[in-house]
Amino acid sequence: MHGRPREYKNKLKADQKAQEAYRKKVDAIRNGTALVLEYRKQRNYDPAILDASAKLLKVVPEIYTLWNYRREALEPVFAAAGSAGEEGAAEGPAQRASDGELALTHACLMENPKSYSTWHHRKWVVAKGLAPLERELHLISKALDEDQRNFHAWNYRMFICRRMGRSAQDELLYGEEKILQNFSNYSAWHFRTILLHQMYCGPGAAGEGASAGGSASQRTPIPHDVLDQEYDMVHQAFATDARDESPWVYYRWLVGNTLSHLSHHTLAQNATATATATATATATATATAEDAVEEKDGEEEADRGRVAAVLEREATRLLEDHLAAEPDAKWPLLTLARLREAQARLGLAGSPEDCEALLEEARSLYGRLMTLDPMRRGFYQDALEGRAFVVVSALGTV
Amino acid sequence: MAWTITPSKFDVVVIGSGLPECLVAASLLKAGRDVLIIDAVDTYGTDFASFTPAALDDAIVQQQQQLTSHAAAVSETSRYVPAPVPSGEEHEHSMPKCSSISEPVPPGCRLLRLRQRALPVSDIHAFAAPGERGGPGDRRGYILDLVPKLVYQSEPLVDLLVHCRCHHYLEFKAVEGSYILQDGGIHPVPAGRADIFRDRRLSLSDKRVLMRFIQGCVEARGGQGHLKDVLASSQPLAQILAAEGLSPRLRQVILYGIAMCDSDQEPTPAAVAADNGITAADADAAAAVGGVMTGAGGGAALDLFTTSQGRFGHEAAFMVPSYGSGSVAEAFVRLCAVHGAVTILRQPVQALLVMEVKEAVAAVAAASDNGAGSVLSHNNGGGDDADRLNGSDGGAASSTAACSCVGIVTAAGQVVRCKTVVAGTGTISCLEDVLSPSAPPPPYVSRAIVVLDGPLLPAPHGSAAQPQPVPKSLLTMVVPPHSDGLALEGQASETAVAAWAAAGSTGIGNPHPVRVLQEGASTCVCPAGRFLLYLSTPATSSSSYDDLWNTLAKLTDTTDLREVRSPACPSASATSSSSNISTAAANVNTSTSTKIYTDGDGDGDGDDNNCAVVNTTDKHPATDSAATSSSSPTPRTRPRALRAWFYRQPVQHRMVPAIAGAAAGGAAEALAYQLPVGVLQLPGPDGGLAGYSQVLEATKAAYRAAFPGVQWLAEATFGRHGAGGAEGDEEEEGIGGDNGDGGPAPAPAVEEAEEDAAIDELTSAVARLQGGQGV
Repeated sequence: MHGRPREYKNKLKADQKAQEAYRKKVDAIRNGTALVLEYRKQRNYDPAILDASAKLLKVVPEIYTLWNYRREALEPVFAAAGSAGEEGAAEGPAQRASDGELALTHACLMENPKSYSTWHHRKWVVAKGLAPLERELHLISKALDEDQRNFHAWNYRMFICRRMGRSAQDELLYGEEKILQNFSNYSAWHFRTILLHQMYCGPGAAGEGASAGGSASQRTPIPHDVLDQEYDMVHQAFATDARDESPWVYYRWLVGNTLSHLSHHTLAQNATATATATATATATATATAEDAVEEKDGEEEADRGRVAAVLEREATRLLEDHLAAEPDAKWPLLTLARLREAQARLGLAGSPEDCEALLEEARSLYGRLMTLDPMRRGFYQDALEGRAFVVVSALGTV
Repeated sequence: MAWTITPSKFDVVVIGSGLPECLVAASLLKAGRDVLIIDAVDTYGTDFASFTPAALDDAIVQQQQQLTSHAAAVSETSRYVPAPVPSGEEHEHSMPKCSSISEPVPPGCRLLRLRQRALPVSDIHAFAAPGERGGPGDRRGYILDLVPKLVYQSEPLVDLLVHCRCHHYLEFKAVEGSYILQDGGIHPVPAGRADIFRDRRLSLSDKRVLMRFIQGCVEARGGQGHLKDVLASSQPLAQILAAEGLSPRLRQVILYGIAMCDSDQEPTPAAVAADNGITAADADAAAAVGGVMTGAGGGAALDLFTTSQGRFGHEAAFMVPSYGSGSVAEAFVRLCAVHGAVTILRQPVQALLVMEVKEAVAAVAAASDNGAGSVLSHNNGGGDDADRLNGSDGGAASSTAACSCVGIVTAAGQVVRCKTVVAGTGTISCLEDVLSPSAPPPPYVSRAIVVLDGPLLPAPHGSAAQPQPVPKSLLTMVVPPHSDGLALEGQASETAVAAWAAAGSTGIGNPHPVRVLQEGASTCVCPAGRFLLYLSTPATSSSSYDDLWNTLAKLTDTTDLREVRSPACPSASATSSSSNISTAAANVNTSTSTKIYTDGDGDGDGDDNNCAVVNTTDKHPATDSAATSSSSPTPRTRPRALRAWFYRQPVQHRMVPAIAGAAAGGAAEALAYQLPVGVLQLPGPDGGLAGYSQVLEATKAAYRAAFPGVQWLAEATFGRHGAGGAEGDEEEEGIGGDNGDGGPAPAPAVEEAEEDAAIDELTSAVARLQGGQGV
C-alpha cells in the first residue's frame, strides 16, 4: 500500500499496446461522461443511464459529478420510502437502491481504496438508514487489515460507530490493537485522541465531541491517571523505534492535554509576554472564567503542582530513558526542548531564576538541533527565538 | 510367491521412503535412472513418518519381545524371523512377515540380513489416563509425527518444494505464536518490532537493545552495520550478545527463541568442567544438535528467521504441514511416482545381496556397457574407503567392506538386482554385521508425544478486534536450559500471558532447552477439542522419561497419567516384572467405583478434574502429592494430559566429515557402519525442531559424493505444467498470491484484464445509449 511507486506512466512510455489501451480508456470516459451529463441537463434519470454511470464510475470513481447524478436520481426513491413508513422499506425499491449503491461503492473501493468521492457516497447511502451496520463494521475492519493507514477507512469507521452507538471503550481497544500491530500509524493515533476526548471530555461527547473539536485547553481535561497510562505506552514506542515520528506527534498532543489542566486564565496570563497576537482570542475566555476564579484558586494551585510534576517527570524520562542511550536523537531532543521551554515560560519550574535556566537549556537544545538537523535550521531558529511558543498559547500544547 | 516385482532389475533400489531417500530417488529419476522405492509398511516416510497411536503401541510390544528374547538365549532361527504383528490386528504401520527365499542365491553371492523395524525408536514408555486408551478412534483420530518439525517459511526446502512443484500436494498452516518460558511464566518471544513494542515485560532499555541488535542483523545481511563482522566470525553467538549488552534474559530470547539453538549455549563453569572431565554425555548431546553456535552460524540462523517472518502472510516465521510432517516426504514420493519410479509399499527387504568385490566388478562390467562404475563405487569417496579398509583390518567384520551390493531380497522372497542400494541411516542400522565395533553409540534425542484435553495457553482476553477469543492452536514454545519452571498462580498472573497455576515452582532443570510444539485440529492431526504436544530435548540421561517428565508435569496436569506397560495385549505382560502396574491400570479401566470425588468447589457437580484415582502407581515422582492436594480448590487452569508416549531417537544426520565441520566427530560417524560398496547411506533425522536445512544439506552432500556429476533435484528442470504433467495443472508460479517480497505476482495481469473488461463494457453501454439517443 505504501512506498510503492506508481508504474503506469513508465509503462505507457514503453509499451505501444498500453498506449492504445490508455487512449481507448480516455475516449470511453470522455464519451461516457459527456453522455451522462447530457441526460443530467434534461433531468433524465433513466435506469440505463444510471447503469452507464455505474460502469463509468467503476473505471474512474473520482468524477464526483457522476456520483451527484446518482444521488439526484435516488433521492426521491429514498424519500418515497421514508414517507411510506417502515414496513414498505424492507423489500422495496429504496432497499434495492441502498444495496445497489453499497455494492457499487464496494466494487469501486476494492479498486481505489482512497477515493474521496466513493467514500462520501457510501456515507450518504448508509445515512439513509437501510444498510446493515454490523456488516459495514466488519467490512471496514477488513479494509483496515488490508491497509492500516487508510485514513478514509478510519474516518468511515468513526462514522459507522457513531451511527451504531458503539462505545468509545470498545473502539479504543480496537484502535489500540491496530497501534500494537504497527505503531507507525498516524491515523490510529489520531483516532485515539478523538476517542479519549469522547470518553473524558464534555458531557456525553459522543456526537459532537469528534467534530466540534477546538483546542485541548478549551475542554474538560483528560484525567491525569489516564494520561499517565498514555505516556507509558508512548514511551514503549519511543524505545522500540525512536526514529518513527508518529508516536512523537501523539506525545505532543498528550503534553497539550496535561497543560490543559492549567486553567485558561493561568495559561493566558503567563503567555501574554510572548504571545500578544493571541491575546484577543483568549480574552473572552478569561472574562467568563473570572467569576469563578476565587473558589478555584486552591484547586488551581494543586493543578499547577501536578502539571509541573508531570512535565518534570517527562523531561527526566526523555533524558534518562532515551537521550542517555542515544544523545543525538532528534525527536527526544526537540521534545525535551519544547518541554523545557513550556516549563520556563509557564513559570512551572519554581523561581524565576530556575525558569530562566530552563529557558537557556531549551535554547541550547534548539541550537544543537540546528547543527544536528541542518535541513530544518530555520525551524529551530524560530523556536530558539521564542516564536514557536505561540503554539502553546493558541492551542495549549508544546 | 504371491506376486513379483517386474522388472526385477533396477539401476537403483531405494529402501524406505524418508525425506532424504525420496530426494535422492527423485534426483536420480530426473537424471534418467530406473528407480524402485520399496517400503516395509503401508505408509510413506520411514524415519520421517507420521503414524497412528496403534503403531507406537505395537512398537512397545516389539521392544518388550526383543528384551525377553534377549534374555533368553538368542537362537539362530529366531534371528531370521521378524517380529510378528503383535496385536493380531493390522494397521498402516504393521509389517508383513517374510517368506522364505524362493530363488537360489546366485553363485559368489551371500545375503546380508536386514531386520527392518516399523518405528526406528527405542526406550518407549506409554502413559494413559483412565479410559483414554485404544479404541477404533485411535486409528483415524490422531496423526503422530516421528520427527515433528517447524518449517521456516523461507528455508531451502520450501524453495525446493516450489521448484519441483510439489507444493501442490501440500498444505501448510502458519504457526500462530512462539513462546518462551521465562520469569515463571509463558511469554511471547519478542521477535519483531510489533512484538517488542507490545511486550510490557521488557524494560525500555531492553527494547532499545533488542531492536538495535535485530536491526544490526538486518544491516549485517546487507554487509553493513555494526554487527557485520562479528556475525561472520567464529566467536560464540552468546558472547557476541553479551558484548552487545543483552541481559541474560534477552540472550535466552535470541539464542533459543529466535536463533533456535537446540543445546545450551552458555554452559556454566561446572558444566564445562564436567564436559572436559569423565562423562561427556552432555557434550555429546550438545554436539548432536549443533553444539555452540558461532557468530556466523547465528547470523545465518537469524537471517533465516527474519526472512521467514511474514513470507506467506502475517508475522509468523514458521509453518507446519497439515496432516503430519510425514506429508512432506510423501509429497516427494508422489513426485517420484510421477517421474516413473516403481513404488512398492508393505514389502520389507529381508536381505541385501552382496558379492565379493572381484566378481562384482566383473558382473557390473558385463551388465552395463556405459560407465556405470562411477555410479557406485563408494559412498564416501576414495579416501574414506581406504580408511575404512584400514580401520577394519583388526575388526571382526572385515569381509563386509570388501564386497559389493548387487541386489536385494524382498519379504516375498524375490531377488531384485540393482547397481546401487540407497537407504536411510535408520534402515542401515538394522543391517546385521555392519556396525563397526569401534564406533561410538550415536547421540540421541528424547521425545514425548502428549494428547491434551485443552490448549496449553488459555484464550487471550477478548478485544474489540476479536470479540470471541480463540485459544491458539498451533504454537511453539521453548524451555531454556536450567529453567526455573513456572511460578505459582499469583506471580504468574501478574506477568503477561500465563495466568495459570503450576503444581510447584521448583526448577525443571534440563541441561539443554526443551522444545515444545502444540498442534490442534487446525492441522488435522487430532480431533477437535484435543491437542497434541510434542516435546524434545537432547538426551542427557538413559531414559526419555527422565529427560522430559518434569517439563511435561510443569506444563500440563499429569495427575491422571498411568504407565501402560503392554498396550496391545495386557495378558502378555503377566510375565514381565511390572504386573502390579498393569493390574492397576486394568482396575481403573474397568471399574469407575475406584474414583473418589473430592468436589472441592462445593457445587456438587463432581468435575472430572477433581477426581482422584485410588490406585496410584510407582512412577509419579514429586508431582503426585503436591498436585492432588492443591488441585482441588483451584479451578483447572492447565490442560490435562490424557495420553503420553516417551521415546528416544538416534541422531545421525551428519554423514560426511565435510558436513560435520569438526572433522574428528564427523569421520567417526561416517565410519559407524562398514557397508558394502554400492550402498549409499543417507542421513537420518536431526534432533532439532526447527527446519529441514541440516537434513537437506547432509542429503545433498551424500548424494554429491556418491553420484559425482549427476544433477541434484534443485538443478533439474520442471515444466510449467507441474510435477504431474499428465494432470495438466496449470497453476501459477510461487506458493501463494500474497507473498510480499516474491517479486511481481501474477495479480497485475489479472487486474489489467478486469479493467479492460470494465472499459469494454462501458464503451458498449455508451455506444448503445448514443444509438438510442439518435433514434
